[in-house]
Amino acid sequence: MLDQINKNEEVKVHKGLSENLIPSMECSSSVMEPDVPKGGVVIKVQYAGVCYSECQLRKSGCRPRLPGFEVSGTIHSVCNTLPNCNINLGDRVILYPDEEQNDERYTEFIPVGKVEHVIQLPQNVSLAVAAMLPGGALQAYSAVLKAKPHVEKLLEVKPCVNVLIVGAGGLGLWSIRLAQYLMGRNNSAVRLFVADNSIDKLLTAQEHDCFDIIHWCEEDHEQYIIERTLDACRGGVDVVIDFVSSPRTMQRSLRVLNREGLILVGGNTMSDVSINLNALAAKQQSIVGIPKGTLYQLRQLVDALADGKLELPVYSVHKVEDAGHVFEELAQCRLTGRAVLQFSHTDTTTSVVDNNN
Amino acid sequence: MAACGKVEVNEDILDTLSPELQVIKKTMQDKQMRLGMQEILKALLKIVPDYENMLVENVLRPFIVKDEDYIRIMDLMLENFNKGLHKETNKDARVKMFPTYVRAVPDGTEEGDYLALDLGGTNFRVLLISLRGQEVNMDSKIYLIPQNIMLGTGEQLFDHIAECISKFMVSHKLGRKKLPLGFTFSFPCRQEGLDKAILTTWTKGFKCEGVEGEDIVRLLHEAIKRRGDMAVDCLAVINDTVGALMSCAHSDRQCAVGLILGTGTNACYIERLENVELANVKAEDGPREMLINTEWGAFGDDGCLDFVRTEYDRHVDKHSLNPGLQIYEKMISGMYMGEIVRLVLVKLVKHSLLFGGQGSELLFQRGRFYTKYVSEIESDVDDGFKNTKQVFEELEIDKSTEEDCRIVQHVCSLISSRAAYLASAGIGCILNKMDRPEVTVAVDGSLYRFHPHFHDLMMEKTQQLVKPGLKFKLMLSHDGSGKGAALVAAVAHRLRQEAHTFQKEDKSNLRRNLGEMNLYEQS
Repeated sequence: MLDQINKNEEVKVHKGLSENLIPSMECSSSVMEPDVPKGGVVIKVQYAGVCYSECQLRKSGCRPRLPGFEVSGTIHSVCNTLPNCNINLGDRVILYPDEEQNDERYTEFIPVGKVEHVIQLPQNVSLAVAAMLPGGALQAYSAVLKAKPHVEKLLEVKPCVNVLIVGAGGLGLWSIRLAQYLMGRNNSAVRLFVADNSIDKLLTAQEHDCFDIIHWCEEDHEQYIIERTLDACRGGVDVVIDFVSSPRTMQRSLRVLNREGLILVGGNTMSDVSINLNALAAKQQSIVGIPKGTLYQLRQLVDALADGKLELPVYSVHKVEDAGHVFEELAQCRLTGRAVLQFSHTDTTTSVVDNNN
Repeated sequence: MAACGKVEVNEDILDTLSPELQVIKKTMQDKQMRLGMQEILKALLKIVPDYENMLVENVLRPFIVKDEDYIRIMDLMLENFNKGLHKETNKDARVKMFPTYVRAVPDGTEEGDYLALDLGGTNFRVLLISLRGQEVNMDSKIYLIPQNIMLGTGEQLFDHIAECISKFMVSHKLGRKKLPLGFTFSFPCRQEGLDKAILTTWTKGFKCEGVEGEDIVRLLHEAIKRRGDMAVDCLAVINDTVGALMSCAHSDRQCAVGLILGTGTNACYIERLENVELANVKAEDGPREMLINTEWGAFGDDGCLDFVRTEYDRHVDKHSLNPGLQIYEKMISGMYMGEIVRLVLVKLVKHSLLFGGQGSELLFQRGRFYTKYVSEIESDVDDGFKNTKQVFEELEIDKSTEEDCRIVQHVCSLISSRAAYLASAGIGCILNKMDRPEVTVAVDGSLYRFHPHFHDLMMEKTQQLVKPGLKFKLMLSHDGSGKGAALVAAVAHRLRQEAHTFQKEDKSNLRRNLGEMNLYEQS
């Protein structure tokens, strides 16, 4: 009987999610085109990165934050009051995420008031890849940038620094690539470790050449997990980048953290975490929130990609009609790495969404 | 209330002389009326809510097993042990009592470098162990086993294992060094020698095809050969219980029992060789003893434990990967304990005795109440219920009262106590059978290590059940799977060397004897 309850609930949520995503699944009528905001542009979305909080994904449904957080597209219209800036129709662009664009549904067009938030892409950077930059990559970049000075300071007194990344999803994989980019691909002084509940995700992370992977199996006793972590990270952990920051991951991080260690938190959890401040002070440790990435940092990412110096994490491209299925695959960890959704357009001028493609 | 026969009347509460009751009494004298009333009452009992479950105590009562029942369980266990040990009855015995072909505990002279493998769950370990008398140096690495390999083919599994060994050899710069290897393989096996182990059945979530009924040492050697990049020789296969015993015995010579209380449960002990009817050994080849791997998890598979099993135990069994098997294990070990607690909590919620009748989606999800929660909840010592509340939060239970915390803690303690007492019955049986005046029991496993009261509960109960005059100790064994495997490999290695020199000596003795004979005949 309990099985039935679960089954029904799953099906219900799954359907509902799809409905939310694609407002006009059945009809192929034209989508309303937004007006060009004064002094701005309208972007036509071509690709959207799947944004989610790794460990908040539950079997019964995900809580993805949908575009305009992670989109790439082309310029659809330009306000004629704009001075002769170099933005033209058809330019391939990404958008720096802002509170303004907080529309929860997948919309095909995004009106942008602040044209300075639009970044044009060089020819050798594809739209599919660029779609991943404004969300996950930017947050990971911000975290790694924040960790870098601390790592360098520790390297002055220690031969080896251990960095633990909690979460082997998109954010974790981007963190590995960006750490390798910033601190050197074959830097043996900095060891990157990745921890996650999913073995499949960890095996994918291993393909990104991190030093080692650690299975934080949620069913195992905490003490067991701590021992396993300390066994892998010889000498303890110096820096933790935790995008999950749940009570459990924080407790584990604090128990493996060395003196003068640093924990960077993404704060994607809803619950409160209690921390013993005396212990923190005694061991001179610090907990810092990962700041929101800046526009300048996003530009740096685009440049790094164009230069070919930044390696990409594993990613896959899917049709936007399969979005519901993609979320399910991600939740079940059957799909690892980043997922990007491709919007299909057959007719670019009348902008009809052809769902039969 | 259940039967509709004679009803006992409590004269202190009911005023049997009241006019209303007198009317009923008179009416019931009519046979037709009486039959009719019985039918009505029977039907009513089917419709009205189950009063018996209206109280928390009633729901939990089945978990409180009487002392004499534990004694009965201990006696049944002994019967099963004997059935397993005797040749004629072993085929039908559920508790297999496999001979391990390990004849002696370590004597402290073990020396050398050995590789060890440890496979018992999703984590697979490769270890390099250096033995120098009492000093042991270990270096190990964990390799993960993905779900698709746990449920794939045997060839895939052993290829993966061989690959992990190879990676380890490379990272530890061991190259093509010829190293003896001990394999801790924690699944039920029938051994035909120290280096020949046939898997009888997969447990604990594994289900690779083509391995059950096969010799796992052969499968390992085949996989190593397929790779062609290593010169590693598996000399011994042991069980994690044997590992725990050997590891502990290395520093405590009174150790004679190995016990695992973790994902699964099992025990091994030192049996007198004359009782081991199934072993294919010559008594003169070594000490007059052999370690027996009881595989006691299968105790009760024939139904003999049904008198203490609850509906929750039956439910857990029905929905497991191996229904009808490992009955004793399912009442004790970590793989199932959390689920038993969850089923009880769900029942209490359904009867509105917990969480105001409202659970959460996660609470209703099979397997979601992790066994570690039981240890965490029972670790709460004051009314703050810090750990308990954190568990509720993780299960997304929004509304809970302090009474709810108390009830959940109580449920956990009853179920974990029952597990501890059942394990104690098993240990009591072994200790009584061995009849040694002083024994150390080596214990390993997450349930024993991390549960706040398991050790104390077991000490208390086992003391009640052993024969007076027998002294025992429960000791945590450290890293039996690694150290233990290496120790057994060391013993196996030494035996092999001795056998070679023995053969050489034999040949020269024979020549000398023949020579003497010739001389004799000539003169």
